[in-house]
Amino acid sequence: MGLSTRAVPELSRSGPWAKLWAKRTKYLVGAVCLAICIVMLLPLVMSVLASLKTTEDAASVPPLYAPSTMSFNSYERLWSFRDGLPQYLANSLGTGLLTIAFTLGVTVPAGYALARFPVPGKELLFVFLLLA
Amino acid sequence: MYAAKRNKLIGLIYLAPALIFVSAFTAYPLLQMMWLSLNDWTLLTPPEFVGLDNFVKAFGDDQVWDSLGFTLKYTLLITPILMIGGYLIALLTSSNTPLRRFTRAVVFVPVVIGLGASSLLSYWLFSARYGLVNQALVDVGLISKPILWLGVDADISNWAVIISVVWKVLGFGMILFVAAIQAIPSEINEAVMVDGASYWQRVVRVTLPLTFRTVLLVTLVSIIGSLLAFDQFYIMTAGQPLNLTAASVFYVYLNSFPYLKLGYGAALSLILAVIILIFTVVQLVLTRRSEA
Repeated sequence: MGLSTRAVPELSRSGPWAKLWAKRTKYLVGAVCLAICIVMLLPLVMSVLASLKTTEDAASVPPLYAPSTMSFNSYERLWSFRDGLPQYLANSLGTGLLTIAFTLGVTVPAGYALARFPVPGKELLFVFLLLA
Repeated sequence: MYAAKRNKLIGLIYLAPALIFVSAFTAYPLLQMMWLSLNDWTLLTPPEFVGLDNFVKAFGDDQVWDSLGFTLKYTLLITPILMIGGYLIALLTSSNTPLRRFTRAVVFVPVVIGLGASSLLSYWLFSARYGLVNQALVDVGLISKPILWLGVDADISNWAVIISVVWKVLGFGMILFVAAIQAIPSEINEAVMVDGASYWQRVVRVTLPLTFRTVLLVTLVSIIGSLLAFDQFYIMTAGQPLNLTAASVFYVYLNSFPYLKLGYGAALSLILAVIILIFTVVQLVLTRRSEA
């Protein structure tokens, strides 16, 4: 679409219509892009709006699109849930960092050995390691 | 001579941690599972050896076939949507203008959300009483009374799950397709344009063939992912109605944990593993052939 008209405009379509056609394509692409963005973002926007609702608003039937009054109550409850959110974030971070450290510690020597040393049964060992 | 022997030893020492790790956490559990599939075990009494009974039972179990059929149906419906949708969006956004970059980023956002979290989000959006999907459809005037999306009709539930998963996974294929399309040398495209090809001719004759390997790879990843679908069904339908939306892995889970038939569950997951292996081999053979 945009590519062909931009790079070699005269070849594919010539005359007074060329410019109009190029413009039309450009707007069409823009409109489709925006439509895709809206569809993809809508569920996320809705969940953000729901997170700002009061409990009564969130449980109302029929459901409300936007909160009637802003409330950060949900975030406060999340922040102080049991041991508090920072504790759980620290847990995740710890798990992630340890996983990276262990993975590197185990795989780097193994990769080095397979590439550098004449290990007997190299192919078989390689396939075995790929099991994981 | 001595040096060569020493090098072999050093190589093995470097490999040892990885080998021990894989043996302990992959190979041993796999063998254990194979052994388990030959036993009857409820966790309450010691395992009882029953030979191939579990496999015989699996072939006579209607729910096994229903689950496999449902999983295949889900896979056959969702894979074309993901491939064609992802490729079209990739074609649309592959050149680097600000709006296209932004669209690409937006389509990729749901990929970084966990599947569990996105399924919970859809569970809420699709719920009959509190859900905004029904509310929006009623407000627009497309339907007059709320649709019961989840857990009442197998097909409607399936579509709700498919919409939710497509929303989450679409960006993954798209980003790989964009990378493949951008890797096509611009000389080829320019040559084709000089020859007077239209845009769609160019897509069919140049872009698609040159990104074919990526398409195959993404198809394989998507098929395996769909055959192993669990989170979305566990959270959104829990197999309802009447286990009609119990995908294969969900049925394995049902047997293993709530029903405590661990041997039977192990046998079922072995059968599933073989099916996925067949898919993978077919796909790899196809990829090899396209290379030649």
